[in-house]
Amino acid sequence: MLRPKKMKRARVIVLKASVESLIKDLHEAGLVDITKTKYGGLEEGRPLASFDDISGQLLRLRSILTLMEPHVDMKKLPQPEAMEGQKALAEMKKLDVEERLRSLTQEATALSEQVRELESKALVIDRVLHFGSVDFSRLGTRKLGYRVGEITPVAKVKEELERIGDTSVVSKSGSNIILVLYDRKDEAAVDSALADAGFNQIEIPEGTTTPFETINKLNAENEAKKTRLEAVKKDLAAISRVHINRIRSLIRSLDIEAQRAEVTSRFASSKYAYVVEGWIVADEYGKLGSIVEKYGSDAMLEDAKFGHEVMPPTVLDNPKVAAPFEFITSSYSLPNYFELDPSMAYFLGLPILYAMIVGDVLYGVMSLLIAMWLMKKFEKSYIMSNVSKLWFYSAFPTMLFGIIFDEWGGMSHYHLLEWLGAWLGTELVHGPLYSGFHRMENILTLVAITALIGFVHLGIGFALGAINEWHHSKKHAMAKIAWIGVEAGGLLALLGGIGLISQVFMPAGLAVVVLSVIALGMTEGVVGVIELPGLLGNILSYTRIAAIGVAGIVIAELVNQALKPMPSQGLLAIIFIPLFIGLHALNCFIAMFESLIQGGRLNIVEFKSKFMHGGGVEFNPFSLHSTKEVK
Amino acid sequence: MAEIAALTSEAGFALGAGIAMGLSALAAAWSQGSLGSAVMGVVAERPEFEGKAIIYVVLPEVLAVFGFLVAVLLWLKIGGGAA
Repeated sequence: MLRPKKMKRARVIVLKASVESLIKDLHEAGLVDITKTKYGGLEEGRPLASFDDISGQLLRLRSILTLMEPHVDMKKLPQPEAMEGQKALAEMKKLDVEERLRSLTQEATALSEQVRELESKALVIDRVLHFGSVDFSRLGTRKLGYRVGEITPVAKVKEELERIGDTSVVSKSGSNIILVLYDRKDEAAVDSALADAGFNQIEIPEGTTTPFETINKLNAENEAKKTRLEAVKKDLAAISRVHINRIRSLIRSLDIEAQRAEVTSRFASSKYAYVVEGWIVADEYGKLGSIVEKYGSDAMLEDAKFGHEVMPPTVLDNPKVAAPFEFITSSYSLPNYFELDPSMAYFLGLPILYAMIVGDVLYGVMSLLIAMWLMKKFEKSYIMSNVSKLWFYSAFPTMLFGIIFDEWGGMSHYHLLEWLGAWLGTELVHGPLYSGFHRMENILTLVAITALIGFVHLGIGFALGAINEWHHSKKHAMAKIAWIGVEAGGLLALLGGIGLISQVFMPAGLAVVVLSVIALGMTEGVVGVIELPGLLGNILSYTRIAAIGVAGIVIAELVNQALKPMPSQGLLAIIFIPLFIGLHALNCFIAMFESLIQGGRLNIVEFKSKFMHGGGVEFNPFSLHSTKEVK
Repeated sequence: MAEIAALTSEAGFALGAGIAMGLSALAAAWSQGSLGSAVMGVVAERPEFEGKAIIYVVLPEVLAVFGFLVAVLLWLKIGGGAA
């Protein structure tokens, strides 16, 4: 539970004649994380001969799927079923939809392009529509040149242009688009005058006759193309709907076959046999034995021993209830195989730190309801479902700490009952039922308690660190114990110094500190001694529990002071009720968010760093389920 | 004279509370600003880090909260709770 699952290094030696069948069995069982196997005297394995063919077919299928995707709602499709590899390859040969699909797609692309072109031509013609009866196909002869374009102001430019030879300008009032007709010999002068005036030329599309006639022709042509495009798209959609499940199923099947054909590149190979090595959860080793046994003398399983020089993958092993806390562990850094898994420590520590920050019974209830709603809403989201579960678990200690702190929506239980009594028109209590630890009235004590919690939490971290290091390096384990000595000695000296315990403990505590620092210097060197102030910083970091908690209380009290609805307020109370509830809900949500982040930080930064190096490798078995799902 | 000394002392506490709150809030804002722009850069390149990155942006908030705690402690010294 506190350590990752025990792993074994399995080695299978298999004759080449049986390898395909064994690979299939291993893939279906999904037990072994196959690693790259290297042996002196043996060659590196190569993918099976079928790999190139399968890859080629997969590429083809994926390109077909790409053609189909735009015409089908992919989200509504069922998960594709895989079929047997040979059957999939045979099916591929029968696949006759590709050519039709490609020709229709090409036609649709061409039609779309033509429609776009016609529409852009129509836009141009639309701008010169006021020259409705001018036949542009008859302009632009050897003698006569013309320019069409936009210019402002028309009157002034018109006057200037008409001074050049036989140039004439056609325009319509209200439009700044002009048609300039000129003698070819004056072309340079006309162009220069137009350029000086900021003329923006409009290119009349080739084949334009009169704008009226051309626009009608373009619109008719466009309609015809659009009709054909619609028909082609319908055909594409129909074909895609009929065949897409088959294509996805083939992709899934061949994807599996490709993985199987490729995995031999991780094996070591001789002329007649392969050597396969991989990691397996120790509890599953028997299952692998049964699989290999089926092959009789064609295959042999061996339990390959390993030491600390290799790093097995990490499989976390916690009760189901602690699974959301595994999410924190795996999100930041997996413990390596030889380390303790911090998930259970998070399971115990995080909700308590969270609860000490929020510390309000009604906020606990509210956060429970919010967490349950989020759990339902984000059932399929890995991050949100786990975060919601963290809030769910933390809500219960929050209520408990709320009772201890006597905080009920920013009020004491007595004030809450008094307020409810005012609404019910009766006195619910005559005096406080109990006396809680009021955080606002005991801030200094609260700060001291939170620092003490930090002290204990870090002490546990160092103890776990010593356990972690014990089998690996006694010297490092001793360093962790020295840190505990520094902590314990420091606390004794402090408590003796301020007179909370007998003053005799002060020199004794200081002596423990000095001895521990010497031990630290001997085990961790100067670096260890330099890090001493960091320990104080780490402990003080826990006072954030008090700081954030107090900030939350102040906000809650402000809401109560300003907006607590009372029956005596009459109609105003009706306005205050939603504001009062809304602001408390907002404060609760801020507290939930902040407490999770800061509680998480204390666990991940301050606590975990005392015992965990991380760098664990994720266990990734060769399995059907690791096959990426087809979209 | 004693009254003036008490008032000066109260003013000192009040000023201290204000400075603690103000400076810590500025520090938090400055850190979040720097972190925020860096994190946006990371998220633009690697969107999968968004969840983790947001957490780093939120962490410096506690600087302001610590300042607030100190301010509350000073405020209580001058009888803020009674007010």
